[in-house]
Amino acid sequence: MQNEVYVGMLIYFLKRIAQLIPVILGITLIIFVIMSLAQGDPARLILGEWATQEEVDQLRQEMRLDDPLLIRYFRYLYNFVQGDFGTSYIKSRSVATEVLGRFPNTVRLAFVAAILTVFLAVPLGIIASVKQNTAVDSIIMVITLIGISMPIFWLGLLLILQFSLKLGWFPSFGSESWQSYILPAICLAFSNMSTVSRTTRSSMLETIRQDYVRTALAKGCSRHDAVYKHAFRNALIPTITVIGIQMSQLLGGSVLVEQVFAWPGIGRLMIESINGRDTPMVLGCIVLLTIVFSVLNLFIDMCYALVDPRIRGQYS
Amino acid sequence: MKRLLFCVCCIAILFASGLFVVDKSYAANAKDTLTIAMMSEPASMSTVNNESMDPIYSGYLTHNFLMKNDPKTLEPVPDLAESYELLSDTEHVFKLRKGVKFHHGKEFKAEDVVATINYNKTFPGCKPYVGAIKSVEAIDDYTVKFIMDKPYPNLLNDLTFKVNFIQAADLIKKGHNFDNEPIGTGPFKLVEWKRGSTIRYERFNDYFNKDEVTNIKTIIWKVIPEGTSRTIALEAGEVDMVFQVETADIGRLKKNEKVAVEEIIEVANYAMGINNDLPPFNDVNLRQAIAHAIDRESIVIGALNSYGVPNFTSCAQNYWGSTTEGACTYDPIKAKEYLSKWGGDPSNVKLSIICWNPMLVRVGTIVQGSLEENLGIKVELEEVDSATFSSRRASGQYRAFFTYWSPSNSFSYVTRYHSDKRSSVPGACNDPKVDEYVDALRNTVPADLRLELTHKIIARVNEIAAQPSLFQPYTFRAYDRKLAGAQFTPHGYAYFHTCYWK
Repeated sequence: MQNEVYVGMLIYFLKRIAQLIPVILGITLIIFVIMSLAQGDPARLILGEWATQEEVDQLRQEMRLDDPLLIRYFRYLYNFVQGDFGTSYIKSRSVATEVLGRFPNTVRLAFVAAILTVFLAVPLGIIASVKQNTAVDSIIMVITLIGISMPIFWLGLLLILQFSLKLGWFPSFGSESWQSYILPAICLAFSNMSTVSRTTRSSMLETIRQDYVRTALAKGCSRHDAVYKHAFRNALIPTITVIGIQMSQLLGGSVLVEQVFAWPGIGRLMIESINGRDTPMVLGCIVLLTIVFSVLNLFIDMCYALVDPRIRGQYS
Repeated sequence: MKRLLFCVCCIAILFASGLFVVDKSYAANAKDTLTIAMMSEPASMSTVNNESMDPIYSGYLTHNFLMKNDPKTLEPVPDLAESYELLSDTEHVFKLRKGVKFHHGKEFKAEDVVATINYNKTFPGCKPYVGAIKSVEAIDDYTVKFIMDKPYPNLLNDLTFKVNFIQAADLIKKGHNFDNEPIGTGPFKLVEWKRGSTIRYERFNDYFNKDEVTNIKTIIWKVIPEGTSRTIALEAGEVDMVFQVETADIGRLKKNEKVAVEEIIEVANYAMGINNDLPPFNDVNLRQAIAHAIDRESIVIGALNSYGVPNFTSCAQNYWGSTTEGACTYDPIKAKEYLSKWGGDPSNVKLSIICWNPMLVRVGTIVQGSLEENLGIKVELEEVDSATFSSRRASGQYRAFFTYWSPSNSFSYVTRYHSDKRSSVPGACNDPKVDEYVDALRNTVPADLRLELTHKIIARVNEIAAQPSLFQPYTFRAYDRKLAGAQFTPHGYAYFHTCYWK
């Protein structure tokens, strides 16, 4: 029976990986069309104000920008499947080198922020649910409301002012030391933590009121075991979903945090590339993020199976 | 709950004890290092194939010119050239310094100058600065002759400008990647580039000008896009200098005893480019009305926090040769007179102005108010990014836009009013008299005659209000007071390598 489940999960996993292909195709086509329609000529941006239209046209010809959209798109796909993601129009560097150089910075920050989020948000959500309608619950709800409402860049600047400038505890920018991770991670986590803890709280409230929890308590189960062993696991599904969505957002690069903390991540790279009409770079970033999001969503789906035996059983 | 409270208390005690505080290796206070906070990094280190300023800042560290700008007088002075002689109206001879080395070991010779100029001629963006050069010849290893098409007065200034950093002939020949690996004769060489983060330069020990060698061996650029973050980094001691200071932070920095703030009036002259071809803006009376109706003082106060000077004339005020003759001062009465001369209905004028950054939106808001109040013209502001602006300007799809110029001198400035500019900016100035004066200026060498022609061009452009000037902003640079020797130019460049720790 267990082997059937594992085989079922493997087949599901492979199906989902295979689904990535039309997703990537669809997204790259959409981005290609959008970048083509957006005003702003990369050849003009490269050559500058003094170039005549003839010179711009000549460069466009050399860059093959005047080819029909579909021809350019299929040429891109052809190179893509051979591992060539193109060269940046502006930086004259391989897109793969540039994107893969920046992405690990975003992953590291996202990872630290996600750990902070989970380890702060989930306990807070549980406490708030257990202590519903008490002062503790109110305090937690106010904190989470602030977290959701506070603009992230403003929080970032406040943290820098207090902890970098006034106290000198952490650096205000960059990614070179382990201390550099603390403030941007707190900034990201504070906002995300609010959503996760509220979701955990509402999910727990629903679960705690279930009959089986009351039965467990009646049978002599300790309150601690009733909450953590019985209620919590059943309340995890929505929490995992929200964590997964937020992890996807973190991996997409929080542009505002990267801007405030001068974090060399993929968010800033994408904005710079869009502003520079650097289509190969934009596509490279988007394709990478599409793959990452899809794999992450798949991982979240697998987590459901780990947490909930009923879902696991569906794979057999 | 109790366990959680216990953990929180432990963490708080640990923070308070400073356990997390010990390592300050990120702080910038090594005395042989200069750490500079920059707003952005170059997309490419080459200055010939892009219009960005960032590669120029880097180029001042890694390269030299044949002639360079004196940061105080803005006049060209020898750099890699030892001396200069005008053989005839069209022949300029430069004697080159001996014993100068490139970072890769090659000795600098005349062939490098020849190769650089010929290489630059292949890039459209270099046209204003090498277009007048017919040919360059190496007379011997240390003598080079420039032959111009016609008598041309601005060669020395052109050679001081960004595109004319001298490259090595052997590198040009083998198609070296100057975009990512700059190699020059400059006082510092690029040793590490972490994209989006830092650029590190180390002193070039074989640099020819020993007078410029200071106690700084390493220069690090830290890329910090957010202005307030740059300021805080300086205040916290994490960087030694902020090159682009956020306007909102200037007051605070000036009060900081550990920080020196330098204020420079830029030569960058912000103006409103009006489409001179598009009705009704092709009527000079309407353009004059608009030019006289804009309250430039309010722009400086409202949009720039008073960090700038209003400009009413069609050239930056701090250039040699600039004049206020015929300047379009703020005069609502005169504006109404010109409007009457135009004779149209101002409520039918559809004026949209392209603003391509937030500061220009603030400027535009004040221009909007001025024109509505004084002329009854309703202005629409179009907020776009710089790529869209560039495209629309090049295709003539605009009624007006805000722009700025900051070329090397008044010659380079006023010659842009020639109608040949319209091949890249449709709708730009198109006046036969301006063309006549500019054509004459391009071939006039004596200084007194050039001065007269420059005045004529500016006065005429003022008269036709082709591109009303608005203001020149201040630029601020801030740095640790223990630092000295920094030289900042009104063009917006800097000689970082002359800095030293006191």
